[in-house]
Amino acid sequence: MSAGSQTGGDLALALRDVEKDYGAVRVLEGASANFEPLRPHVIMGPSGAGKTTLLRLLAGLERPDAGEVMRGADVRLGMTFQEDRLCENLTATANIRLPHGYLPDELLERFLAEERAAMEACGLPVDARPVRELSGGQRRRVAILRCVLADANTLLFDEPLKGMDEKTVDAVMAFVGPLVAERTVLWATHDERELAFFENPVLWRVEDGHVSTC
Amino acid sequence: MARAGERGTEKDGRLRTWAARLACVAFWLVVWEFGARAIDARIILVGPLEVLARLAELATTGEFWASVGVSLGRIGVGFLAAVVAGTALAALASRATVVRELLAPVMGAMKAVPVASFVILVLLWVSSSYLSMVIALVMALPVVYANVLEGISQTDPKLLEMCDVFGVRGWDRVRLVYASEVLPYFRVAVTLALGLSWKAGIAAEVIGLPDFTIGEHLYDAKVYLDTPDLFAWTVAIVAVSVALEALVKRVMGRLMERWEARP
Repeated sequence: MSAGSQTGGDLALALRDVEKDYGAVRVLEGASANFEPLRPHVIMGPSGAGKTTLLRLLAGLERPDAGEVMRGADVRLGMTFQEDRLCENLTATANIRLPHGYLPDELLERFLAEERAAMEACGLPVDARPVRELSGGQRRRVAILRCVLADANTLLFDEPLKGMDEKTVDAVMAFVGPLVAERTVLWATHDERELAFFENPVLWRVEDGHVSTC
Repeated sequence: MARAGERGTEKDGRLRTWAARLACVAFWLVVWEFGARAIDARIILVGPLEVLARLAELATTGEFWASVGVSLGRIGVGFLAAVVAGTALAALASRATVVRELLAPVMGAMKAVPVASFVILVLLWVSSSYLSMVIALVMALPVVYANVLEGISQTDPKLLEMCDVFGVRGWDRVRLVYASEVLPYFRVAVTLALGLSWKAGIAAEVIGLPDFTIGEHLYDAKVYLDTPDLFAWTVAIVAVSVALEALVKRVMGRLMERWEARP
């Protein structure tokens, strides 16, 4: 069970003249962007500029008021939301494995070993506690691992490292970096230092309702 | 060290609470005993010692255990059917508004109609042997249905969005997300419905009088003005109810722990 990299197929991800309002607030106004597949894209912009809206549109969780959101037929999504969105009564391993659904015994054992190695690499305790008993930082790491260990070729991250201390960030990124290298990554942040985690990323800016490359 | 001290204090506190509870129960038992002696009329009131003696006597007979077994078995079947049907209907109702709206008046009526009316009505339809089964079902169904439906509707929509993004659908979504979110509601539903079913089932037996049941013995006690028997059977009903509730709570607690601890 390898974390789903894919080099072929229709992995297009784009917006064309997208408009999106929330009540009287216009968040995106004629936004267009074409996210090249299998590359890291870092999306920056001030708080409230529309980074989350952009990711939610691409994930299919919001519909544009006007314009078009295009997602290739072979896109398999994984996402780290701004909130952890974990099943509180399940263990960290059960949460991380959730996107895989039912796994037969042999695959389950193999994936469990993969999960445990990943958790140890990210400084997470491997035990039988439900995630409601974990700290905020630990829960965040579980949410990130659920995303990067999913069988997905396109990963959306919405400020995934927010609130994490530097040492934990380094440990997490040392593990996550190689895992996301061959996938399309959209990484929303307002911290410029996070650019350094990616090799040759495309830098996007969301501001005043528009999305543009820098 | 401080932890051990805290644990010790906690244990002392719990012991004191239990001691206080037992003292209160003992107080009322003494009042009951003295009351019975003061009235001195077995037909009106018998003391706890006599009740206990009668219960011990009954417990040595095969008929007592057969009656408890028959009542328990029939009411248990009705209760389990209600748990299965209530959960399935709640799942359906959460998917289709039309089902929810169609079921709303039925569940409302089941909750509002008095047990006695149901018993008489059901007696017209089924043999008295099945009466307690049907009544247990009728009592438990709306409780299970309402709680499970509430649990499903309280499932965090953000979790469902997460499932949409990761493509977790169908049975996997039920097994991994809904089950985990609904389980606490289900646990409350089962505990609540169990007590209701048991008491209503016995009441139905008293009216329907199926052979070899607790209800039949209660009725006999009333007809023959056998107050010690009436009290002894009542104590047996309460004891079974408390034991069942404790057993179900324990089993469900264990199951939940195991469910939560799955790797």
